[in-house]
Amino acid sequence: MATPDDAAFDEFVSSAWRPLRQAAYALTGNTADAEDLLQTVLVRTYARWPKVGREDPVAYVRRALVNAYVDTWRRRKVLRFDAVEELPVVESYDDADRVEDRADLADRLARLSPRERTMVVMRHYFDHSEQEVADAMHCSVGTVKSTCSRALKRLRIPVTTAEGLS
Amino acid sequence: MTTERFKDHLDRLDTGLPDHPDTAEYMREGRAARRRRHSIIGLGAGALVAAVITPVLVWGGSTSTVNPTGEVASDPSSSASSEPTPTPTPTPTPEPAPVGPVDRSFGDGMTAAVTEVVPRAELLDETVGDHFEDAKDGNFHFRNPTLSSPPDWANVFIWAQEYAADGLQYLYVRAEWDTIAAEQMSGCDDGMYEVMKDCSVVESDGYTVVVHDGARFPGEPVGNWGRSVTVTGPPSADGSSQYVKASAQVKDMSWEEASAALPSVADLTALAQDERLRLPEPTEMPTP
Repeated sequence: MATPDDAAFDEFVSSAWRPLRQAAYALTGNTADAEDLLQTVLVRTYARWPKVGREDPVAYVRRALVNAYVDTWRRRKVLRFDAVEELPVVESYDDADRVEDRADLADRLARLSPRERTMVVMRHYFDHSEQEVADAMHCSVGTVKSTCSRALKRLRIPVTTAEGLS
Repeated sequence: MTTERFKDHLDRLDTGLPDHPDTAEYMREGRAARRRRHSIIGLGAGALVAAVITPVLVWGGSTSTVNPTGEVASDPSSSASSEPTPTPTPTPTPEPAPVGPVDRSFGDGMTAAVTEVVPRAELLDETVGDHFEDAKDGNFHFRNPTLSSPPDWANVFIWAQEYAADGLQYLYVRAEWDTIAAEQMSGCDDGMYEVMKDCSVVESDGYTVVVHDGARFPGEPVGNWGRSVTVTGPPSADGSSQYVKASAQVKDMSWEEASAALPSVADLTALAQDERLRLPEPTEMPTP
């Protein structure tokens, strides 16, 4: 039997699903791992829903998604060192590139390092501040800036100086 | 502009995932997780009652201080602190020890159990053994648990993992079968530690839960504090016992700071009782 908690959880997940799904895919780089990541995070969220639902479920689930992913790649880093293929840095862009870039984005994301993917998703998809990303990743704000800048260039996303990325 | 463009590109990615979430599946699994947590907390609560009534052995003559819900967990998402205090319930009967050989997935289950309690725990090292091998360090000889190649999964007798986690010096979990565990692991070990703030022992359906709290090994710095929970099962037909240990340590802290920073007794107890840390009995116990 559905409870008020269940209805609220269902409503929350349905509304938050699309960005979570896209972020999970961007982080993991493939459908199966994204599905596993979402399963882990949303099961955990439901298990804690009486508390989470009263607070800030969006913030919780985003943090949980990143934490679960970071836990995964850090663990794998300890057990197995995967080579990350270097991609050429692209310094300039034009509109004609964009359609092709969009189609290639999944491939380019998959070839970033897990750390780069995590930072760029937190900063430019979840809209975390540079300080928040730095705190979460245990690094300096400067490292966040340089890592995101490098990652965006490799993704062929123009980096604007207005955001303080030089 | 950068952010908007990145979002635009990312939002258009074909993820291969469904347009609508299967919330029923998440809720079903989530309910199972809740049940598991409540049963574990319930066991802790039952243990508290049992400890007050029939303390088996109490450190320093005090009564047991196992507190399954009152401790402040170091992580905001920690399980015990996020739920209302459960009413003490009768202690459930533990399931029989699992049978059949393990495989690599046992370590993944162990890690999953640990990261549910300490979400940011980072696996540093893993020890798996199906036999002992001799080793020498200076004048000291050791017999180290070692995994054969290929592994003899039916005879795996130890699986241990060490983690790093924010605020902790280490976090350690160990599942093992041992011929002397029932004798040596099922009581307060007053000879092992130089300092101990508390210890309690609770027996429940043949399982013994030992909590060493505020413990420091001889020779360690004054600011080091450990908290450990050991669950020892009843002896099997050949006299071996299964035990699971979950422990954590901090450094450079007062006991008050350490007590708050360490995973709570309830969390470590839940971890030590998690079915994913219950190693099947090996076919043949190796000679130590």
